[in-house]
Amino acid sequence: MITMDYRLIELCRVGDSAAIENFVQTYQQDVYRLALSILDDPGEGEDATQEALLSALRSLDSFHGTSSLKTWLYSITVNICRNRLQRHKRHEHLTKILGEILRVRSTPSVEEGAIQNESNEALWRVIHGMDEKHRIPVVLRYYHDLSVAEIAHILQIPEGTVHSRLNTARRQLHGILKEGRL
Amino acid sequence: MNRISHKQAIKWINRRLDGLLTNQQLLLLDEHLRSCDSCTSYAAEMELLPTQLQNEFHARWDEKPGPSEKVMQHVTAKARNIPMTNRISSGIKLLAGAATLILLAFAINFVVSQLRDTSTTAVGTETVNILPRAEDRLLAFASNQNGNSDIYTMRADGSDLTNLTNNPAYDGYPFWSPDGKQLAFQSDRNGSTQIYLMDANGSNVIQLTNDEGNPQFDINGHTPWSPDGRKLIFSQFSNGERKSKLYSMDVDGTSKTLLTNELGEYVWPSWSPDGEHIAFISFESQGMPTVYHLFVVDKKGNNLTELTGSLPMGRSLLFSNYYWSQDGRSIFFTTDSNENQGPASTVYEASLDGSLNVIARASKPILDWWNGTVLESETPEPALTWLRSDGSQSTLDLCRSTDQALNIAYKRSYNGNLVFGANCSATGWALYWANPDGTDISKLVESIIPVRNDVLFNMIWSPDDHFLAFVSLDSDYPNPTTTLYVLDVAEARKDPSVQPLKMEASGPSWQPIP
Repeated sequence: MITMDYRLIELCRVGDSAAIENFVQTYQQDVYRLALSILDDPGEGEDATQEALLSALRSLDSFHGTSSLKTWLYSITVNICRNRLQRHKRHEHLTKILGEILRVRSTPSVEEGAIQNESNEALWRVIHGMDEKHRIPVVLRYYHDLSVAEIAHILQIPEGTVHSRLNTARRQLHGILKEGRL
Repeated sequence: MNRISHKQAIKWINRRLDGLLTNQQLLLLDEHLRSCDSCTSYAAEMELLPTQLQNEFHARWDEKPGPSEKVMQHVTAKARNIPMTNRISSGIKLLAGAATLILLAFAINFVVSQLRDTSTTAVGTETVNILPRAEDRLLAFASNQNGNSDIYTMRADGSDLTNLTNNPAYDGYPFWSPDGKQLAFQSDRNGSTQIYLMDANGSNVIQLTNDEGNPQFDINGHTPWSPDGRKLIFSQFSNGERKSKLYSMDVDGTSKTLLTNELGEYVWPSWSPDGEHIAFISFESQGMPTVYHLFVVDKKGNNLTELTGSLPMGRSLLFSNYYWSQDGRSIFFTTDSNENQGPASTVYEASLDGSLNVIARASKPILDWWNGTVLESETPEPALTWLRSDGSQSTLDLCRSTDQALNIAYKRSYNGNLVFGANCSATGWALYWANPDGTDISKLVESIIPVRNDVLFNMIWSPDDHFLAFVSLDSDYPNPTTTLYVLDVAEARKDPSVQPLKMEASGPSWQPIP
């Protein structure tokens, strides 16, 4: 569980090295797990963690304690991950076009192959195939164990919309399970 | 005895998964589940999902090592300079703030001066509140997915699909009231087609007409609702004929007013933005090509005037579309010419007394005109050209050079953005987006609608310009089928892999206010 001494936040604001180290130590695991679960790439997750922690430290002045620090930090992380996903999509699109022109086929790495074998590949494929609008609430709810209210706060959308998106995602998964495709 | 319906139980099973039920609701749901095998089985399946998802996520990510030492080193090294950077950036922000205020003053001055100029609005535009969340808006439509035509609503992402009518009779053509609280629709539940009204959730159904001649909406993308939400316009047919008369009535079914004394082929009426007049098209389909006339009448059914009456010989309305000016005092329309003299196509602004002003001319058919920009179409060579008032132009070839464009379709949004499509003989429909003057054009989707779906119609923008709903008609089958598509235009512009939502349905209508 994340806890933070608010005196440390004040020290981080004025650039105290020990406080900043303490801040990073306290939050980096949770931020990294969140970034990893959205980006599904350890390298990208680590870069997003750095970006999110730095961004949070830069904007500590705008944290007024109206939400929990964890929710605030998660909001920053989710936004950074979304931006990275968008960039990645554009890059993928360009690579696809180039691939078609150059007739290059990419092969999955050994590591990727091993992970795919360990987990339920078909279920993952469905989750991975969802748009981020539906996938991120599912990950926040079922991996990070967050309530609908917390997810609403992080994504800055109404609770009804969170429920609606979770519902759509669950219906999609349920439909596929019923058809016996998993 | 069950105190909640199956539908309610299913809804609550899903809400229970998110911890959103009150204690009272939990008790009622438990009571229902004890006596309902199908809901119990659904609940068991749905409750299994979270465990499966949790197992999957934990198996996938828990074993991964945490962040490396680099994160700590990198963040702490950079974070030490933050207070200094913040002080510098505060200084810059202060300066930038002052500069922004000066620029803002200039910008406001510019916008105000632009607003004073005459501008146009799409026909049937409703006064709407633009909301930040487009997904919360409901789309109403008619679908046969339950075996007969019923009216449904859903959110733009396909969620919360609800059958509002659940009636074995035909129910179709839903239209949202301007306040987004009611739907007008037509139904033959009492033997003949009549007009009805219901609340947004399907309750409080009221029959508004009980007349001969199958009262119905013949609207073609406009709305039958007056801008103040107090009146509806509709057509009433002469038995056994295609000819009709146009009427308006109050939304409680009273004060029925005849707008056209004579029977005629009157179609596609629309209210002026100020609610004082109604324009409509009359067409002569006996000869070839079909000749369209544009009429206007005041809301009391008086002062019927043909706006195309003083057109030069040989000119007639082209493409049957027209735009009301924002103040409701004039209408813009395009004509073509059968003569071999002068430009082929002209845009006119008609005052409501029938006097005409030429706004633009072009050598090819003008598909559309928007605030000074002419959109020319060229067939059979499938190309569109934007001719701007500053003399610049851009052209887009719609199909590959070996292709034929079998049909085109387009719709302006409330802000003048354009989605247009071309059905290319080799690849089927491709859809594009363009800003109002055609200086920014991008392809949205391609090859998702087959060539045999030869018409795209009912193209309706959501009031926030975010989504476009449209219907394709597959007329090749013995029984023609209509497919409703909902495209997230804003997302499709950013990401070419975005595909529209698709289902067998027709007659979409966006809720103006959720």
